[in-house]
Amino acid sequence: MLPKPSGCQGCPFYGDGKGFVPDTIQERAPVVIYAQGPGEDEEAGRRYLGSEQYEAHPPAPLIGRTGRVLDTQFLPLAGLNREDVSLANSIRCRLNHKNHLPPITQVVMQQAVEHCTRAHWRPPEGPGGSRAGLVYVTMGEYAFYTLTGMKHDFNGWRGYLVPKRHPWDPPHLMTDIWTPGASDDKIFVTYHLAYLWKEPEAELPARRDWNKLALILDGTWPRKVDPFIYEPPALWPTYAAFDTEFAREDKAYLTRYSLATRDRKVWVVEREDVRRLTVTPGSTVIMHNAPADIPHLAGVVDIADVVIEDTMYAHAVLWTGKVETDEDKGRGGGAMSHKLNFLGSMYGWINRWKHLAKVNPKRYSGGDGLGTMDVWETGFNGGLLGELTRDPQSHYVYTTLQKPLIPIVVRNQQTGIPVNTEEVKRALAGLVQQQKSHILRAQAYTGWPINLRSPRHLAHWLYDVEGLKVKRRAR
Amino acid sequence: MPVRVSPRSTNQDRLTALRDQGEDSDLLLARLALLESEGLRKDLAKMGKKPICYPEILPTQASLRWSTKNPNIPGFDRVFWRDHSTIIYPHPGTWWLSWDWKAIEGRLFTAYSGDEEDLQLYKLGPDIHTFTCAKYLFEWAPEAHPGCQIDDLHLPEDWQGPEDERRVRAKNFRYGPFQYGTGARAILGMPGIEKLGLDRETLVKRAQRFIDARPRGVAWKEQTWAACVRDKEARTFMGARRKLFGDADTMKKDGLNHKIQGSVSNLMAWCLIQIVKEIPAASLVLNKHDGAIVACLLHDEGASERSSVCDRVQDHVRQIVEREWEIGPGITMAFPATWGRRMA
Repeated sequence: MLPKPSGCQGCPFYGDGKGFVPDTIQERAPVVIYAQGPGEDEEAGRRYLGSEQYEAHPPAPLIGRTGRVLDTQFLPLAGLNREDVSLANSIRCRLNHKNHLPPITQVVMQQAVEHCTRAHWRPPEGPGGSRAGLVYVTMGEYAFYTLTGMKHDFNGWRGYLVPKRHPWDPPHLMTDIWTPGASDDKIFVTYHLAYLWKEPEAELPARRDWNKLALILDGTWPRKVDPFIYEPPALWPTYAAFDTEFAREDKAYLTRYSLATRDRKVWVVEREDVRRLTVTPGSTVIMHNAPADIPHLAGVVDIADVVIEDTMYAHAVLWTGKVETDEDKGRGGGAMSHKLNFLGSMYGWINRWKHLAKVNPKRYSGGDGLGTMDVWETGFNGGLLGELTRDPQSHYVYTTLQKPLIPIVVRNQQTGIPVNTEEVKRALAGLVQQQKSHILRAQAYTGWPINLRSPRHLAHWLYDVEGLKVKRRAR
Repeated sequence: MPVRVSPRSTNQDRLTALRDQGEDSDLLLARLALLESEGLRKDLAKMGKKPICYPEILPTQASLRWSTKNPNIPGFDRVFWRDHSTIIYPHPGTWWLSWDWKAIEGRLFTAYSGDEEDLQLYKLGPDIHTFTCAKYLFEWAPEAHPGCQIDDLHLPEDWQGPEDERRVRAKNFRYGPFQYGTGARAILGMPGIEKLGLDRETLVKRAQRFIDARPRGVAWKEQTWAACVRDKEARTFMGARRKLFGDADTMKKDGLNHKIQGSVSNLMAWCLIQIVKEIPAASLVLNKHDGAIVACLLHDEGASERSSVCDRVQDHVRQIVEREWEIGPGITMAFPATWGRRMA
């Protein structure tokens, strides 16, 4: 193990002063891969060769099992090899010589990251000799924090580019869909590859991300977003993606809608400009979760002769799996989300737009239209339509078992279910009473007014006082 | 000062794992009870505010299962429905017809694999889980055969019917080691199995006897697992795919689950589409994985006529829901359901 240099003094993770793992810098390399922290192999100085074989190697980032996966499976997807990239970690030692780190939301973790970055990070020169214009691949939440200052929404940004900002830099508000220039440092967000062992379904988005890295490097992704048209089209397009924004508290109140065509023309129409339009019979309208948009579409055009396609329903047919919801932020497991933000990261030609809901709602709305079109057809590999065409059985399931559910769901949403509110109140009162008895039971058991809803109180009692441990199941 | 990091999660999964391994701390149980009622409390609080609720339903979960939220009415537990069955009701002028498929996942497994004893049990009876309990798990009637009478199973005097704890364990006994598990020893990891009062050796021996009596099921499972690992995908008999990721064990588990659960989802979708196609006035009210409620129109008939109209609609829907499908090669299976009606 290497001793920690003097720059480590004062860091909350200083520990016994041993186990420093320096960055591996390749001058003139266009890419910096930023990982979380060293593992046992990196700390001890041994390189994993596969098949349980190792060789001695000076301590360096990503030389263990994760590094092996990076070298053999993921760098090639981007047309790169190890000599093309610099490698760094957010934390350059193993906390207490173990793999567990506190969550990035904890202040001590943020302090350690900031200390480590200030003390040890020196940006390399890029291919042109400049230290600007590099592509940083941030693998995981810790690296994401180190180079963007963001503690939240890692999953939301995965697969997209963010401008570089260290945690101590002044915050900047992202008010538009960001298309970086050649001299901008680009932070590309992806999963830490070790996460794939924990969550195998993350492999698909991870692979797409590394494919996309090649496009970022050759300047073909993301595409610049042209100005939108802020008035309704004269005639409804015969093939278009459609998306609506409506009031959360009253879904029938349309705020605006957007339309996007295959030639990337985008209309964003505000509520006051909405008027009835003529539609050519047989026209195709693509939506993401059509049951939410169809009632508003019916207010704009006659939907009787319109062919409807749905990216959420189609994606569920093609890529069903454990679904990661926005509410879970990925913690519940699963990476096969059907949300448009996720699909945009998989198929879209434009950078993220879903963070603009409040700061730039018109760009957000237009992004939804354009993103939906990319996801359906104009995006990577022909989008979902391309995938359905290449897999006739999935196409059959989509057209005969999934898409026909849309009108059934629409009708269900419109009809609703009558509620006996008096009976609900009685049930609720009984339940609240029951919950109170659980709380009293807990307080009687512990002998102090424990807060049964407090994770800190619970953890103290269950793990410190009672010493409970999860055992392995008998096999 | 060293920073301590330790796994001290208090989330529901961790606490459930602790409970399932036999920890009976009152605090643990009280917290779990509180957690389990939190979702219901939030849903009820929302439902109490408006005379009509609009649950959000989506057929996009894993293996095309449905989700319902705001409120998650199908997630309300059985005890709640026993005490508060009238919190929702049909719109005036409509009535509700509901069905719950009986043991549909077990039937699908048998239909894919074709073990004779299970095929016969589904056709001739008696109840498959009671049979499993009597013939294999407790060996009250080791020679019992499909088509036998319930008395032939020598059930104990304190047998409490379908809700009997031992029958529930027999269901786990079938699904755990055989249908979804990796072998007889899987019985030992099943929650609550220690409550049966059987020692480990006996449990494993009986699970093995049960498995040995189902050679086709074992072979089909092996073939399916091998195909999942080889092709990295699984498909239902209707063609719905699930791409598989991770190590071989994960692919086997996810692939087999998809073949069964994805088939239930496909059947549900097919039935709903067909019902609405053949009875345009019918509409979906709620559904869960293996059952649904549809609303049907009432006409101006008198009470006596109304009953026969409902009978006719129910018969029509039953023909759709319980129709026979060819699933495995040359193996057909129908999926009978328990039916219910609710008038406005």
